[in-house]
Amino acid sequence: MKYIVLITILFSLHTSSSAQVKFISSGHIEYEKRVNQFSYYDKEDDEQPWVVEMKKVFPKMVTETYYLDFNENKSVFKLAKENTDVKYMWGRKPSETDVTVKDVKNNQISLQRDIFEQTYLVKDSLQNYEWKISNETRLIAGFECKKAVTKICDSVYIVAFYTDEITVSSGPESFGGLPGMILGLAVPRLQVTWFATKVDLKEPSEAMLNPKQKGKAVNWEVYQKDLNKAMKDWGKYGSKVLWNSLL
Amino acid sequence: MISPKLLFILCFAFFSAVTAYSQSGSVSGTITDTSSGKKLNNAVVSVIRSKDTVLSKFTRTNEQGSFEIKGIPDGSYFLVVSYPGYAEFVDDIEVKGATVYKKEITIIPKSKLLEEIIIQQKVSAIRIKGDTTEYKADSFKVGPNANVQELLKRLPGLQVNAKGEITAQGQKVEKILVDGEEFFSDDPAVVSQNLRADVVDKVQVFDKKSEQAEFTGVDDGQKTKTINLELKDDKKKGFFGKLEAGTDFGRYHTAKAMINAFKKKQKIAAYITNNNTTFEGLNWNEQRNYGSNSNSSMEVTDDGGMMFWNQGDDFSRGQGLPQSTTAGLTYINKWNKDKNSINGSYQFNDQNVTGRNTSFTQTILPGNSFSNNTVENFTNFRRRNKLNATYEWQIDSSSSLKIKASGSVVNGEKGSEYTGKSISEDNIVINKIDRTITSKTENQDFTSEISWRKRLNKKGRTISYTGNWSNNAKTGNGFLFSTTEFFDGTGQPTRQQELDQNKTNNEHQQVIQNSVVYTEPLNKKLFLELTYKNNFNRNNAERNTLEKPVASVKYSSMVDSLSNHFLYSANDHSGGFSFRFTEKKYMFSIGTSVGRTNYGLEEITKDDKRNIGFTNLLPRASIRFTPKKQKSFNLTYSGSTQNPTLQQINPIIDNIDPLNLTIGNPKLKQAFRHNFSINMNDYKIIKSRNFYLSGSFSFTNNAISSSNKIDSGIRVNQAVNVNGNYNGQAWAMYGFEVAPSVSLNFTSESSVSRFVNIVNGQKNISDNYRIGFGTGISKWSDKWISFSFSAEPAYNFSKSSINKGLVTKYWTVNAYPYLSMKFKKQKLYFDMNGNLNMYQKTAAFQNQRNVFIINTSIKRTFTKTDAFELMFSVNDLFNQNQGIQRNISSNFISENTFQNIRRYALLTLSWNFTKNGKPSNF
Repeated sequence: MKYIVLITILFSLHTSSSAQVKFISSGHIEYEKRVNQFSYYDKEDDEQPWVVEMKKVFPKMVTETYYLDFNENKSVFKLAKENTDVKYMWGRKPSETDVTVKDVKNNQISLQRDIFEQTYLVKDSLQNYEWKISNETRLIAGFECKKAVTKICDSVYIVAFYTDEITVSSGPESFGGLPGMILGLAVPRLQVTWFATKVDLKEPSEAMLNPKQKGKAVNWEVYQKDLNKAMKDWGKYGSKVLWNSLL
Repeated sequence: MISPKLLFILCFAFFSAVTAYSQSGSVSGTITDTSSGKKLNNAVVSVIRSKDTVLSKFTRTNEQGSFEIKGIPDGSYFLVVSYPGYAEFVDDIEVKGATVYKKEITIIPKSKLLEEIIIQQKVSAIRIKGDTTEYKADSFKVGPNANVQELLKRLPGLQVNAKGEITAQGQKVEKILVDGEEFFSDDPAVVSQNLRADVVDKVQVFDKKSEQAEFTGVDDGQKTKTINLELKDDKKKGFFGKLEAGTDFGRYHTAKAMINAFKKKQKIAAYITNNNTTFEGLNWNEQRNYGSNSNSSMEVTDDGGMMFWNQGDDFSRGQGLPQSTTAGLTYINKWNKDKNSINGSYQFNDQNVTGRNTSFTQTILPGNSFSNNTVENFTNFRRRNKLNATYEWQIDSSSSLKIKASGSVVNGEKGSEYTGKSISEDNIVINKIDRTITSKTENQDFTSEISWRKRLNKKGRTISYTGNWSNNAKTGNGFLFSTTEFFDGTGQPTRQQELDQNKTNNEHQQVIQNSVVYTEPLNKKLFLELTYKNNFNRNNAERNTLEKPVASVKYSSMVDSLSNHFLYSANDHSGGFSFRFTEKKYMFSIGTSVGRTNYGLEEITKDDKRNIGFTNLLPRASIRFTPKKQKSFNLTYSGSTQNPTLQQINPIIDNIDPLNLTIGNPKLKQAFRHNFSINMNDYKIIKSRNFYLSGSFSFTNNAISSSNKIDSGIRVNQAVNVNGNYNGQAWAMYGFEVAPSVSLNFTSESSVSRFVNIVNGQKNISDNYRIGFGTGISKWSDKWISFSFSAEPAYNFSKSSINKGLVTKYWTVNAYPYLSMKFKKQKLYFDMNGNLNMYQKTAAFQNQRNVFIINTSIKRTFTKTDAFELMFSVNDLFNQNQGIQRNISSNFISENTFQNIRRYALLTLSWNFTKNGKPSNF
């Protein structure tokens, strides 16, 4: 685990001077994303010869690094670098050009995402997630995080761990809306997790917060309609692709 | 499974859930630190709905420590204030209409709180096995949607703290396994929170030895406290199977019995079938569920591509009317986390085929064309016993070993009667032949393969070895009786040839092959691949032809010209290299392999030895361009030397067909073939549109072709080198969705070829062209109806330089209708599929052989679980099934027709039985 010295210092600093908590309102977060590539195939497919063979060739777990640069108003989430050491299964390779910009001040999201051959640019207001707050806590990258749970598509649970020491209401992918920054996120159905490994106080430049985006301009509704149409005959695999696209 | 439409509505409804309110409550106030009396900035104030703990509103305090939250809808809430390092402040608030709360809140720095864990003892549900403590999950009550963490909290001796950390018997649990394997995260908190409690059967707590200790067997004392969750798995032990019987109450019948029983990773499957309606015993799906799969192979390539091939089984197809019995037994087991697996099977086939084949051949000669009509009636009996075994071992994460072995014995008996007649252009008989061939054969075959692969430390550095050894012994004993009558130009008989011979055949062949492949990364983008291969082939073949001496009943005199004993050998070594350069969107590769092949032929009876050697060259190059996902463009070149066979240089004289004889050509040279191919595809998933294009062109220098000399209807063939042979083909398809789940596609295919041969000393150039267009519409759906229809008309054109007057032009149309309807409520299923072939009449093919094959069935299932099925099916509704093979090449035009099973109606009853399992649809 890459717990970064800086954070440890920061953390010990604030705990020692009790009333003078240093809140963070801009910086740079590194997330480690871990995915089980095999989760797209159901248990009942396990005995299929092609699934058996595939599991021999591809690694089960793949890990990537994502960056979230943020200030009080905006956050930009994207892949740090293509991981060339990993063999991805068909359709599982993350796109280097995907970028999610969340304007928390104006409640706007601008999400550029490659779904198969199509590059989408979803421009809409931020999602209204119904977060259930629990009093469980967990230490992530030196921050004490509280657990909150929501679901998408009526049945897909999303588990988030957020810290109120970072005052920006954002997180990985399209998630946010909690009283703080999400440093840990898990989607059990898709067997994917994002956990922050490092938080830097480096303030992002204006250019970093305003990346150039392109793609077929849509809103959430059209985006979902499009994906539903394309995935309608893909069965359970299609549902998983759909959920993954809606994160 | 939720229907996609419903899923969409749900998703959408969820996203667009916006709370609407007219009158609402508000809360405001300040937050103060009790110890210092300072106002706290940036404290989080949340309004959380009491009934489901959903976060409704939140804000942070400003620099003065004050906050205000407006717009709170009616309901009861928790007002929660949190600040890092401070205990959380919680208060209840009720909002009804325009309730206004004003709160002056003081919070205190966090003090340690000890959580008490209440343990309910339920001793009967706990068992101690060795150093493992096992809990039966069902004995500990948790809520209906509780997760594993909640279950663990209930277990005596286990404690879970607020961070999700688990302590067992006073020690921290480092690992949670699920069914002995690591879950998607090895973090116990993640596993325990994300798994539902009601799927767990047993919770086992034990000390896991280090992997080092497990490997060496020497306990190094390093242990990790581990929890293993044994899941309830109803599917772990059970069986499924099927009994089926069908009859037309007359000539046709089918019967099948199949079972697949499994226990954990062990599987035993067995089947027995008997029928006279098909060649194969099991269909595709049944083969996968009850068969051994020994004929199909699958490989997933490094770039994620999948290759699947079926070697095919010559017992599963053919022409004629079959009567077949098949049986099989398969055992599959996996152990050591699936790292070792074994698959063993036994197969039995017994097949009796009778049939009638007719062939029509037209031989085009300058001013002297003739045609031949032959009818063959045959009976063919074969019986096979076969054993297969495969063992696979995933040695470690970087290396694997696979051993395959297969042995079979095939006994056969075949009898064929031919009657044939050749006639000239002027309708005058040239010759007539009556021939009877019988044979009894035995073929013993054993093949084995061992392959080993290893990935070395550096990324991209790999080594692999494959070795094959096969041993094949064939014996045969048969008889040839034939009477051939020859006629002169006016139709008067000139002479008659009679043959009455006994033919014996004894062959023993051994092949050893080895290949080693090594890949080395020269840098991140450039790879070098080195290969070495060898191949040793030995064949000892003895063929004898015996005749009865005059006034003898025994076949005792050897016909020397038709008897021989050869020792044949082929030794081949080759080495190759290739460079592969990969960029994000490009891939180039270039390389070649060079080798040497030596053939040796020793004719033992004549004490004659001959050797010939060839140098082989196999250059290849390719470019791949992938501009976008699912869009690619490939261009490849490959060149190959093609060696003449010894059969072509020095053939074994055979008179099995006295009208077709083959002689050798010692001057035959090596041929070189150049092949270019192009491939494009663009598959748009979101837009449901796809485009494919493929094309290839090849030409051959010094192509090995044939020279025919025809005299009195007897053809003498010899292999010769020619230049000018080429062939090319192109295929393209464009498909798109026209309505939900309905797609339309257009295809086009074309081919061109030139074939050069020598006829009666004269060079003959034959050109063939074919162009076709097709269109199809299809709908594949789980719902009540699926259908497809495609039609592919094509125009064929061929001409030959030797006979300019004879040009063949004709149209063919192939069409494939398919319809499937499901009435799930009524438990009725209807299926129809067809294959319509239309051929245009030509001067050569006098009969227009249109064949419309329609198969249809209607099925009803019974009982709640659909265990019983009653099906009424009609095969070949229009009674037209017939195999047709047309061939237009060089100066021959041929059409073969084969008798096949035609119309029959069958009433089939089947019973699917199952316990904890079901067959999968592959």
